[in-house]
Amino acid sequence: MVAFVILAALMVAGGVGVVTLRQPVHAALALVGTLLALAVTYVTLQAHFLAAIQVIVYAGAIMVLFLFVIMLLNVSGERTGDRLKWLKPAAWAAAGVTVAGLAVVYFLQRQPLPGAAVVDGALGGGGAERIGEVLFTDYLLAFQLVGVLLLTGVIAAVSLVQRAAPETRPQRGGAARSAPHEPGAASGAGVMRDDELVHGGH
Amino acid sequence: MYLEVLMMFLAAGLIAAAALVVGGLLGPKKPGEVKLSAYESGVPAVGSARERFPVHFYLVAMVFIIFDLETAFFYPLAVKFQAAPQFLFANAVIFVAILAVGYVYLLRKGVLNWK
Amino acid sequence: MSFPGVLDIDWNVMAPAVSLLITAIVALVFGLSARDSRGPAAVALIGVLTAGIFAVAHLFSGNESAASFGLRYLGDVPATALTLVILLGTAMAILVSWDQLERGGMGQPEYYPLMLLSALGAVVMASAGDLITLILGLEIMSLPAYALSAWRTRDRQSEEAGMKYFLLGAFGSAMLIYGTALLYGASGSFVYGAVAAALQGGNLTLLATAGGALVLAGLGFKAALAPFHQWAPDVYTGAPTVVVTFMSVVIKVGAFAALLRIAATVFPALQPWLLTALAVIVALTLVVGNFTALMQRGLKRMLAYSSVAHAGYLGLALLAANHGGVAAAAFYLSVYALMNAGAFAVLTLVTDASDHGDDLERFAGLGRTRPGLAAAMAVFMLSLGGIPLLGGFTGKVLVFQATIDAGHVWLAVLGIATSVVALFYYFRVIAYMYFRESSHAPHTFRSTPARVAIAVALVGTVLLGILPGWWHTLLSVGPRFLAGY
Repeated sequence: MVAFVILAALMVAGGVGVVTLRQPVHAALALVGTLLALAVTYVTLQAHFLAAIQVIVYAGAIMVLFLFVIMLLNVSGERTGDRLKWLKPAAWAAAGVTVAGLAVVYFLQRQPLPGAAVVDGALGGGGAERIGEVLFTDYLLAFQLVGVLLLTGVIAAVSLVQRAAPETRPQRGGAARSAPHEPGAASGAGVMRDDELVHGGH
Repeated sequence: MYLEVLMMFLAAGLIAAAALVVGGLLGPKKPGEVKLSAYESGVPAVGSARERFPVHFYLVAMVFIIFDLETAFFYPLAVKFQAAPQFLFANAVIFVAILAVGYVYLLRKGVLNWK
Repeated sequence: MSFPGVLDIDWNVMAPAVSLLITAIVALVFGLSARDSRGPAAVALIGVLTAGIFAVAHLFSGNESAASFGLRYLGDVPATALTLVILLGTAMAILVSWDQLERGGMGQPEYYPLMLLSALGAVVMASAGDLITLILGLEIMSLPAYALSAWRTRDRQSEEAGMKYFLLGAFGSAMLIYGTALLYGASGSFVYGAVAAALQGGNLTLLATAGGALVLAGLGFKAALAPFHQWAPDVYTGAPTVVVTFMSVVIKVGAFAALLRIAATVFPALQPWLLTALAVIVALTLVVGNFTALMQRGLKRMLAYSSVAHAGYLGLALLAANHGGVAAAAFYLSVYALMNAGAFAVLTLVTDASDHGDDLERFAGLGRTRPGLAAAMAVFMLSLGGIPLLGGFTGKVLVFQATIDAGHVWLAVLGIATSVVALFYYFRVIAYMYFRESSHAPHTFRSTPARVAIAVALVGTVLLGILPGWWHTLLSVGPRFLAGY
């Protein structure tokens, strides 16, 4: 219980940090903190496999992707826009209402948490074996759909970045078919050309 | 149960903090322009570190995550494999086949060619 | 316990989804080496028709309690019928895109595969019997839609549309997932029927209702229900019209298919204030959609708000989900798919290759320069407005009837009143086409596949208007969802 309170506090602090920190990289690091605290929470619940996956996939791979996006966009700190000034207070208000609502739900509906034995029974020691058992029976369809979703994600992202329209692409040495990609020159252009606009104020 | 781990973290933190404090208190401080400049393998730093990355990096990172997730799903499969080898193998083949389409697509689009 | 136990896979139920997936893969591989986008379009069309044949065969097989994966993927009448509507919308979008992609320089090979995958996601949403399958279906449906919204290269408006849609869509997904987590926490299950059963007499309904509210909000984003509709006008305006033809039908059907099922199974087990909140949302949607549409000059923007308004009418059916609302909504969605896709199909032929010029002025004198096109547009507008003898009217009557049966008389009255408001903006288009002189050069773009799509939409809209009985009877088979109880 004590461990959970500490971890929950860390997670919430990290979450608040993600929203409030002005430097995107700092916000990303706050998110790492949240994700790691969540991984430790999994460990305290004996869900070791989940904890390992949480660290490898979220705190590792996905955070790298986040950092790449931050570097890709090269945003340095927050730009206070003139438009939509009402948005920030409105967002805080909406978040406040949501948190308050969930708090009300929690306090009106105090439910004894399932005991350690129940959790252990459900998680079966938290190993990969129990997860495999559930994943390949109840969630077999979900497992295959995840494959489809990953495929969809690959196609969607690559099709937006690599717009290899052969006729619009500058032809180089007649190798248009075999070399559809020039990172700096062509596909980067879609991002690069916004540079002046984005950083016009600096 | 994890008290040992916690103690190890504490010890590691203490040693690190001690090293910093002791170094800060006892070490001589003679700052100069060269010493204060960022160290980049001994070569003078050029330009800003905040440069825009080509979007290609992002694509490669994303492809990495996709196949990283694939592996994550295979771990429980491998652990459970002996329980129903044919069934699990068939499922793994379908899963990989779907993702292999993505891999072929990436190859054809030249995402993995670094120029 | 033997692992993996008995696998119940009914391939008749899975066939439409599987054929869509295979077609998407074939179209992708074929498209990478094809010379233009018409070959993949043909592949996609054949695949959609194949999936449609499977769905029709299953619908008429009378096997209403078919399901796969232990009630996680359902083949009941609403699921199969809405699958058919999704396939219909997809087929029309393919026909409309046939010539437009080359004309607008959008013929990247991923277009049709992404469209098919998005349709697959919508089919999965319509058939999902549990929340996990629903979430995965929603993501498979949404990711291609984000990419397709930004499909027009070097067009800031299109890129903005994609970005906006992505950010707000991700927000909606987050709410859906959070809500799902709360529902699972309260009930210990993801399967709709089991969730409802676990909550009966349980003491965690407040927690579950909070989850239900978040699920409603998350799906409300996709369905464009009123406070969550903000993305719709910008996305509809910025995205290529061919893509909007697809999105306005398929995404809406997918979202409402899921909402209907949850409203029919899970919501009755939750606290009643959720339904009150839903009633407020629906009323707001009706008012905001119709009155904002009144003020638009651009036709795409007008149709965007009109689609918000139609989400409101469909929302009425959600409130009456267990009083014939499911069949009414399924009927309404069938007509909506036809008339809305038809209207957008006409729009693609009237606007420039770059989608610009969707202003009402553009339609001035269309009745003289393109009489056939103008007549079709007039029918779609009349049907969207709910004029008798057209499908839109029948759909509205069914929905209002269900709403009154469920005891929400005031909402039905509001729905009827806003329908009258809606007539103004739909009639304005007709007035421009027939009673204004054209100041533009005659519209010259012609596309036979698009004409086929318009003809299909026209026939369907009229047919469902004069002979609604057969389809509604078919939809009314098994008024309750197959949901595991």
